[in-house]
Amino acid sequence: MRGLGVRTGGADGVAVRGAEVMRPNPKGEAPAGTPEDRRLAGRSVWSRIWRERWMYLFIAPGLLFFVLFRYVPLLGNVVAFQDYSPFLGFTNSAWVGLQNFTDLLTDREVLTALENTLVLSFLQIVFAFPAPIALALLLNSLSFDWLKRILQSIVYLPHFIGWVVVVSIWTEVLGGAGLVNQLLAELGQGPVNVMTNPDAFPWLVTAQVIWKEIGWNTIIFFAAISMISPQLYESAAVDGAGPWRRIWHVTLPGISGVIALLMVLRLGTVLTVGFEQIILQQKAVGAEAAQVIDTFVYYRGVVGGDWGLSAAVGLLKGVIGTVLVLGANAALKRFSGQGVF
Amino acid sequence: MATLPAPAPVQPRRRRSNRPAWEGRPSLAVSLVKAVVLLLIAIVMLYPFVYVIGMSFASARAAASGFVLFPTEFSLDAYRTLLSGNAVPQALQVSVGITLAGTALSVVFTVLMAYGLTRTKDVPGARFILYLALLTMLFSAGIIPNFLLIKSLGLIDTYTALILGSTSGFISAFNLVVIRNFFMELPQEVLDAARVDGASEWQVLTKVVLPLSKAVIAVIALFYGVAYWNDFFTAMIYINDTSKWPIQVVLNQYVLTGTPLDALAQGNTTERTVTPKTIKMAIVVLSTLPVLVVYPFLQRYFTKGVLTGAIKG
Amino acid sequence: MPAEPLSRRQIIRLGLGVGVGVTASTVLGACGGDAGDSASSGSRELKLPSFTPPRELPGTTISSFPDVAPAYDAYPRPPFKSVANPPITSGKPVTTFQILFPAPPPPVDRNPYWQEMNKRLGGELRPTLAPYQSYGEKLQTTIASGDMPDIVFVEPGQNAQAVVRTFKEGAFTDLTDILGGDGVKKFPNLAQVPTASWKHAAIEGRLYGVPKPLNQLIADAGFAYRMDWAEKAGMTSKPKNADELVEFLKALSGNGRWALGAMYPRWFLMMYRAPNNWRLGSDGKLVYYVESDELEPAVQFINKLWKAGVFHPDAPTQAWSPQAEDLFLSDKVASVGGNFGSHFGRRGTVGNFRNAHPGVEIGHLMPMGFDGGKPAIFQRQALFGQFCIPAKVGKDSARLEELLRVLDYTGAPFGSEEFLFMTFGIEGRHYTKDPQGNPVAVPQGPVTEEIGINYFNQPSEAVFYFPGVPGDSVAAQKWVEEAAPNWIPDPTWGLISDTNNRKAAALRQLEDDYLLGVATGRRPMSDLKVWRDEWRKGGGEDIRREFQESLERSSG
Repeated sequence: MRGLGVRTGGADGVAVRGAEVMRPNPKGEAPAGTPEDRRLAGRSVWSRIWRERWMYLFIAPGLLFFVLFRYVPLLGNVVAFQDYSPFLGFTNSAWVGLQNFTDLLTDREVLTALENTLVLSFLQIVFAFPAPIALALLLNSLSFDWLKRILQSIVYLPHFIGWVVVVSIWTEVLGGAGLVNQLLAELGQGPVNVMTNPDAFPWLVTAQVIWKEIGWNTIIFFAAISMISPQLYESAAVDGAGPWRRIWHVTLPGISGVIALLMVLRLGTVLTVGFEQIILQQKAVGAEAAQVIDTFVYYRGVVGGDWGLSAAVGLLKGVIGTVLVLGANAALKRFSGQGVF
Repeated sequence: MATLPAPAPVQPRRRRSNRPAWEGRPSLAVSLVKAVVLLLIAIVMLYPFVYVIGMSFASARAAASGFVLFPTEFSLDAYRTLLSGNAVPQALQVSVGITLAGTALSVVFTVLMAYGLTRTKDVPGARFILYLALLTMLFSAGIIPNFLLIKSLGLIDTYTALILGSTSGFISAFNLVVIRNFFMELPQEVLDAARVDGASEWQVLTKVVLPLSKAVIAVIALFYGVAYWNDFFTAMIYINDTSKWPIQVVLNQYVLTGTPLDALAQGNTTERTVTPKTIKMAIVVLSTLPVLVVYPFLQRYFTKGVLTGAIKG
Repeated sequence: MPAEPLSRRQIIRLGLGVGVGVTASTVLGACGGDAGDSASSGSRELKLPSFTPPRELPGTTISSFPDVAPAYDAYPRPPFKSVANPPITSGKPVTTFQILFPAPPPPVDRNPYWQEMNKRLGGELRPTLAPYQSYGEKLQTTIASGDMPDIVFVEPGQNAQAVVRTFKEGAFTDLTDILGGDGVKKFPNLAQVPTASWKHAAIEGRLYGVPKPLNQLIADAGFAYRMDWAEKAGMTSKPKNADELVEFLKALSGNGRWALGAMYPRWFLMMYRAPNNWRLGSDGKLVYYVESDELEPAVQFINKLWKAGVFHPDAPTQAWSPQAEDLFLSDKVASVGGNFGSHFGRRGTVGNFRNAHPGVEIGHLMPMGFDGGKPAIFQRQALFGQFCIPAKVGKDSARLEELLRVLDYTGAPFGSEEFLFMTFGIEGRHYTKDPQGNPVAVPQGPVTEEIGINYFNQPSEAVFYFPGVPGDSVAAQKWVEEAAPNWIPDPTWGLISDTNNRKAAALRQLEDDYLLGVATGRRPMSDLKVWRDEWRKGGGEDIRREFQESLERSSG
């Protein structure tokens, strides 16, 4: 079992209880129930279903929700193949087959949007994804609990400030007439152009995202860290491991499950890089640098009413995301023996 | 019933730190660097918030002339404008109700479903259902199909729509998968031992799994709570009765107060009483305050160690 | 978190070229003075409702320019009654879809204004209020639901360009025959709606709704500036051409101050007589301003000003106008653009400025021809949205008439008792009267929130009436009169282009990128040609072709 020192049995996880042999179970799955149930295991599907009836009971309400409130509306994506008008509705809007998709792939803006999206996504995955982990580790290493809790409560504050206010504050500090430039002017230096520089834009956006979300994103890592048994630290310390090695050998493995999960899920949404943050600043740097897929869909799909186009984009994004998620999961299984699903 | 691993022996308290005996003192250099970094981080994170709060209490003149840290002149005008009307207090009630009810329901059903999906090898169809849920994170239906569904279920203008139709999901696939992941990383031996002793899955869940999962459930409750509290879009689309509007929708209508647009509405006959800037900041404070108040109560669940509780891990 | 809206005027500005508005008589549209005379408009199809001039009231200044609204000093005492009987006679409630700008009103059982409204209308009003920021989305879902209310406020420029196509798909009742010519006289208040408003409301020659009229036939064409800074810099007269303007603005800048708080690109396009979005050439071909010869010198001029440091450094990033207004009010910039709400009255930007800076004079500046000649002032459509009746509802002609009677009530003209109610509320509760009889709103508070359901077609912005500052009403009128001889319409108002509906918002982003980019030096001047190509290939050619086709359809 990853991250916990208490194991049963030998290296391959095979244990013997009673007269039965347990199958090796990656991801900690053990056959349930009494020995009698296990004797019945492998019989008909129906008996397995009956045996696990509690599980179905647990799953049922959620499943109902997903089917009714998530999948039924998904049928609305049929408009991807239509020239949909809200007045004409699904039944009376004209069918256009794959035209929305071909329009998409031949549209000049889409390429720009895609390029910008991928750049931003890459930067965010490389910098904004690990940042909360580092911060969580840093805060975790504090000796004083009161300090740790105070800092925890401070770092998540920016998450709650809406993007509008965030951008306006950043402008007041880094903008053309902002505090930084005023300071530079007093020092005799020329102004620095941060907020209207299209080349700096991806870095600006990433920095803003880190600033705003790093604290909030540490929360889940704190929860994971709190589940690590202190005995593991103690035994590592006893074995002579200093703080850095303890992080490497105890903490990180302990939260590796969560990291892997979040990483895989993040890949699924690789084409989503923020909307409000970008639309607020698009005017400053120009659409060529700032247009991303979601803003493109907003202008064409929502304001312009091209619902077919936005559904087409949604479907494509979903397909790409699914491929990435399943692929990442498979890769993880191959390299570390366990996937997240 | 198998016992939990014995807690580590309690260390005699030394100084004020919670550092256990086996941990050596950090070097001065390291402590210094840590202190500087953390101080910088704290300032950078805290300053904008302090500015926002300060601006919300600024008078019109102080807002116009600008300030760096604290306003030169204080005034409660912004808050008075927001809170003296009928709309905001009413909307606060709605938001609190929806958030509490929604969070409770969402957590319950998410936990249930997550646990039900932990043994996809033993439960036929579970893997399929898991992927089904996962896909909902990747594909979305769009405004109009969701609207038509809610309408056809007769849920327009109901509080139910605010919960079941919530933007991030009554059951969010992300939260579902996270909880499931945490459940699966619990020591399986403990669960198996319970099963061997004849516990039903329900008992395993409630008596073994949940007590060990307080951290992740607290986190998920926080995520859901914040999501319900911040949800603007759902109410805007599904609720026509303005008395049922939650706080975010209502507060947003005050953003134009004091702008020339607002002047037209007031017939341009009287003088302006509040500055848009202070109103915007007061809106941020009001919409954030409840979360800030609730957070510390949940925080203790995921800062302390779970398996032993007393000693920092 | 609440997201920032675009001010309504900003929305209109964004909607340039994208709006659905005017006239079929575009062929004659070059000089805007042909209103008021519906029969002679070039189209054979569109028979505009005839115009009944407003009642004569004391203290009125009627403009000599057609299409320029009257200015009123004072509210008539006593106000006259314009509607004899309550409009609703069937006993059925009237449902509406309206936009909401202020705080949400309390429900009817706790709302005296609403109750009074029901009494006056003779029936129950059941509004659905769409928060202004999400108006477009909510309107589209309402249309998609198949279940539209009886009266629907439609303003494509408010992020709802998508609904333009529904007009031609038959979503709303065609009112042209009912209201055209003398048909409108059945509804005496609607007959007083200025002809320009009807003209600009028509779509491909047909009328689908009752407009909310606006007097602002110009927008972003006037600057208010502080004369104290101007005088201190020795600028005692207004600049008359481009060079003088440069000196003037430079004089207002420097030492941590700037002359202009936003980029105001259209202002400069007007100086160089660029098209108002589109120009209809004498050969009958439409030319977009990006393709025009006037674009380059105009942008070069902006660039010259940028290099001279007259713009506030954050000007290119202003997402919406209140930021520029803030700069003006905090003494960082010398001027402020905007519209009548900003410049006149006690509560607009200039009004706020005066309160904070007593004794400082405010000057007004209009675009001038760059060479000292005439500018081309961009006209705006004379309406903000129209109130439409869904086709399903309009099939019942008795109900249709009833609904038009409701709009007749809500559109009661200035000077009437109904107008006071629609615009200001209940006397004694929401407003009081000053010694001259003008309404003065009570301080903002829970009581004033009750009025939120009142956004109808009342002509509150169709006249010049700023009683709080004596002389402002006539000053505002004069401002428009100054522009009137030189104003030009957008020939594509009232025309439909499918590609334009879909792509206009997206193509608008190109403008921000290229025009502001070249002006601020982020892009080289040669990029203007790139913009032209991008626009053409990105849909511009299709848009032109579709507008031409629509033009042909409209002029019969």
